[in-house]
Formats: sequence, structure tokens, C-alpha cells
Amino acid sequence: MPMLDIKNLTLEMESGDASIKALDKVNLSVSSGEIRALVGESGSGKSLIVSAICGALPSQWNLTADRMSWNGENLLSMSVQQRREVMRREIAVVFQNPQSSLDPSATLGEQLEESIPDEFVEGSWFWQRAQHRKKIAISTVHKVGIKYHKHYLSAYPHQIPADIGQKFMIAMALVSQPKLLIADDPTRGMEPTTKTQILKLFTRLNQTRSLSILFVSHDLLAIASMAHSMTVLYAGQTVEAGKMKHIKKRPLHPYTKALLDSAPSFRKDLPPKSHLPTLGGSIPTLQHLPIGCRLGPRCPRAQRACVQTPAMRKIHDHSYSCHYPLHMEKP
Amino acid sequence: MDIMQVRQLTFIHNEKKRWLKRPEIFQLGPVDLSVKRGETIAIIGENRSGKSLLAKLLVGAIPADAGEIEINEHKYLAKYQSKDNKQKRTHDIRMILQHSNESMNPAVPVGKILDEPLRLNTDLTETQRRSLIEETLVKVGLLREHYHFYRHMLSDGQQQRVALARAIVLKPKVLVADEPFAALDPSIRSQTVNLILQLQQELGLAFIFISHNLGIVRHIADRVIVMENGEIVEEGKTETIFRWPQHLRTKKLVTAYQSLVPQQTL
Repeated sequence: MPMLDIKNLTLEMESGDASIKALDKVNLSVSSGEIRALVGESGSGKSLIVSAICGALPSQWNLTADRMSWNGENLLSMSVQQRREVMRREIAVVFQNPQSSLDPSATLGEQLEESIPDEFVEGSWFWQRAQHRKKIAISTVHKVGIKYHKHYLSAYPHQIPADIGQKFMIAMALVSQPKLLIADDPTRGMEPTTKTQILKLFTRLNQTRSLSILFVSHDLLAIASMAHSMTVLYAGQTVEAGKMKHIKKRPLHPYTKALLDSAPSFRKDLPPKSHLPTLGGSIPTLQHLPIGCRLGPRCPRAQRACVQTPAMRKIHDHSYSCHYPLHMEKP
Repeated sequence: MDIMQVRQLTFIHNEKKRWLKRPEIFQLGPVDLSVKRGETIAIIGENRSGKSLLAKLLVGAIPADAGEIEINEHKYLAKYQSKDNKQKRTHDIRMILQHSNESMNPAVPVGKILDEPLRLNTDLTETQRRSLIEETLVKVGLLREHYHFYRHMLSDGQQQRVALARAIVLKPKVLVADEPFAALDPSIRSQTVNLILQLQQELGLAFIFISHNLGIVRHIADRVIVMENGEIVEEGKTETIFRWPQHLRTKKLVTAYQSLVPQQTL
């Protein structure tokens, strides 16, 4: 039974006289104790899905879904108060750019201490509680790999470098001990050692506290090393979803294959300096989305039927939407 | 054949102690480096190890404190920048900045962006410049019509191509890039990698780049330089560095990378 279950999520934006479907029937589910990767290029709507789950989308955008539930409760029909309660205690989000999502007028320490829930703080007198709060803050900061806590906890967001900011966002998300962590590109631009450290922390939390993680990224190397299952998005459509193992071994959708091929680390046989296989063209903008299967114009296997949106098909728990998937002979 | 020689390049950042402020001292180098024609060199290392600074010192965006750079028997003292010297240098070494989309003027069309280095550094006539720009645009895989496009009309990959065009329009011998692939999506990234490999073959460019993506480093670099605290701690052939890392920092980086790479072949 999945914790977070989203079915046919559609997001429409009105622009001028036309309406744009930024997300088109996206399916996503995260079971408890699972690390689910959400992969897609920029403009594929990854971050929109994250905002949709948080309820942070502007109200003039039209969000519809057949099902969007958290532990069986419908997120869309919840009152603002309930929704906020869920977001506060059960779901934590690491946003993309830390510098702009932290409060510029408070120090990092103040912000972190504020996000510690009251029941974790021990002590009956206010000074004891303040001390304990501080202790929790310091240990959390150490956990994500920030060494100089004294310096950074008393710094303002504009004074810290970007990579510390990223780690700090992760610390703030973890301090309330959530059940689901949504990490929106948490390792972008990190050096390999720090990245491995953060990924190990996530894996450890997943194993010891059975924290579920929705890992949004396009770093396939990181994803392949830790995720259990994967959902691939392209231009607001779910393209393929299934267990990481199966997808890596045998991708069914041409786009997934192109993504996997783009990481040279996956291929031992690749001679150095050889050309990497790529899809031609570039990601379509929201204003000029192709009809039908949105990969159509870039797809090497595209045929006439591709102007109709392909339906989701399922083989065991591996689902894909393509008219001419890779395991079928090219007609 | 060495195309570029760097000797004893040094940069010292020294902020004196004042009242309660602790002194900040950061020294880069002295760095010695030789680059062969058509060679690809990757610089890896932690954040704040001086990688970007080294790149900027090489192109002369930041004046160094000591040392000299020699390109094709033409010597530059890195510390002193006479005007004549500077012009020759902008010809020979060009740079691609990390965020290609932020480093372009949004109010100026692509043609003008590419025209500027030519106007400042060469004495070509307007028609010659125009034809050279169009030739360069085609070379990086864009169309002649992109001359009139503005930044916001281009996609990420196309902006990266324009940045590359701006770098090669003066026919440099060495190209320096600060994290050229970090901000790109996987499919666009592969396209850019292919494009750079192809241009290197055509023009015999030496390419020095900084990257955190060790997969790409392993794929395209001939030599790898590892930096820590402003010093080069290890240097060698790519395969050697990845198989038998010597220095502690290199070992850390390589094991961190190897632990992510799937061990079994697909």
C-alpha cells in the first residue's frame, strides 16, 4: 500500500487564450520504506510535481487529479490547517535553491531551532529547553556533514556558500523526523565526496528509520546507486516507471534508453573520446508542445501513430507509455 | 609539442589582521603546467580548492602575482598586463563560463555578442566579421538565422552553443572552461560533449576544463589534475589516476566516484 499515491495528475495553466497542460496525466506512488527516483530534464515538470504535493502552486493554475492521497487521506480535499499539519510533521521538502528558500533576516541557527518540533525538546525550564534545542541543532548539522557549526549556525543565509546551504536545507528537513523526504535536486553541483556522503546519509536513514524518499534529480549515477524504483518524466508526461533494476537492465521506452546512454559511467565498453549517443533536437518549451507523444519529433522510432498520446501499458510492475517500445520489433 | 607552458604561476590573497578580524590567507600555486596541442586536461578537486581561480588566472581574468605563461614562444608575464599583451592573450586563450545563460547580455542579439570580441581584437571589416560569425555559428551546429536571435529565444543547449561559438570565434589555441557541463541536462550534455570532441579534432584545440562529473572526465580527458588548497597535489594520465590514485585527496575522490558506479556490467 503506497504512502503517497498520485494518479492522473494534470496541471493546466491559462496563458492568453490557450491553456497549456504543463503536467499531463502523471502517475506517481511512493511506498513506505522506498526510495523512489523521479527523473527528467529541466522543464519536464519535476519541480511542479513537488510543488503540487506541497500545495505551493499559485491558485490560478488548475490542478486536477483522479487520486492524490497521503496515507489514504485525500490531499486535495483537506483543509489548509490539516494540509499544513501533514507538511509540517510527515512530509519534508528540500527545495532546489537553498539561498532563496531560507529566510534572509534570521540566522541559520534560529531557523533550524524553530523547525524542531516541541515534543523532541526535553527539560522543564526555558533555559533547559533552549539548551536542548541548541544541542539538537548542532547534532543535526553535524549529521549532514557541516563541520564548523559555531560559524555557520550564527551566519545569515547570504554569508554561506551554496554547498553549505544545500546541506543546511537537508538538515532542516530531517530535524522534524518526517516519514517522507522529498529532495528536489539535493546534490546539484556538489563535489563527488560530499555527494557520496549525502547519498550515504539518505540510504542510512532509509534503512534505519525506514524513511521514504522521493529523490528528484537528473543525476543518473546517484540515482542508480541508491534508488529502488524510478519514474521517468518527459515534458510533463510519465514515460516509464518501474523497479530500478529492471529499467536499468532493459529500458522499454526510447527516451529512458537515451537517458541511460548519456551517462558514460554506465558503459564499460565505451572507448574514451568516442561520440556519445544522443537524441537530436532539444527539449520543447511549454508553449510549443508537440501533440500526442511529446517525445515524437525527437524519437528515433517515431511513426504515424505517435500523434496520438499512447496509453499506459503494464508488464508486471513495469509500466511504460509508448506505441513502439524497445522490446517490440520495429514494424 | 607543447603549445602552452605555465611556470611558477602564483596568486596570493592576503587580508591583513584588523582588530577582531582574523587574517585570511589563501595562496594558489606555484603552478607549473604544460599543455600539448589538441590535449584535454581536466581539473578536479573539492570546492574552494582554487580550481576556478586557476582557470581565471590562465585566461587573465584575474591578474596573478607572479609567474609567466608562454604560448607558442610568446611569453606573457602573468603579473604585468600591457595592453598589447592582453590583446594577444585574448586571441590565444578563451574561456567558457559556468552559467552560459547568465553570461550573455539579454538586450543584445547573438550576432552582436559574437561581434564584440572580433571588433575589439581584430581589424576585420564589417562584412568579413559578419561572414566569420555565420561560419562559426554553423560550426557549432546553429543556423545562420540565429544571428538575429536574442538570449531568451534560445534553449539551454543552444545557449551553450553560443557560448562555445563566442569562445572559438577568435580561433584560440587553448580553451578554458569552468564547469561547462554542470548546468546542462543529460541529453544536452551529451550533445555538448560530442560537439567539443568534434571541434577539438577539427581545430586542434587544447581544452582545459573543470568538472565534478568524473564520468565525463574519465571519458574525454587525456590528463587529470587534482587540486587541494590551492596546490596541485597529483597530476597524471586519466587511466593512471583512476586506477592507481596516489594522493589521499585523489583516493577519496576516486573511491567516492567508484562507489556510485555500478560494479556489474549492464
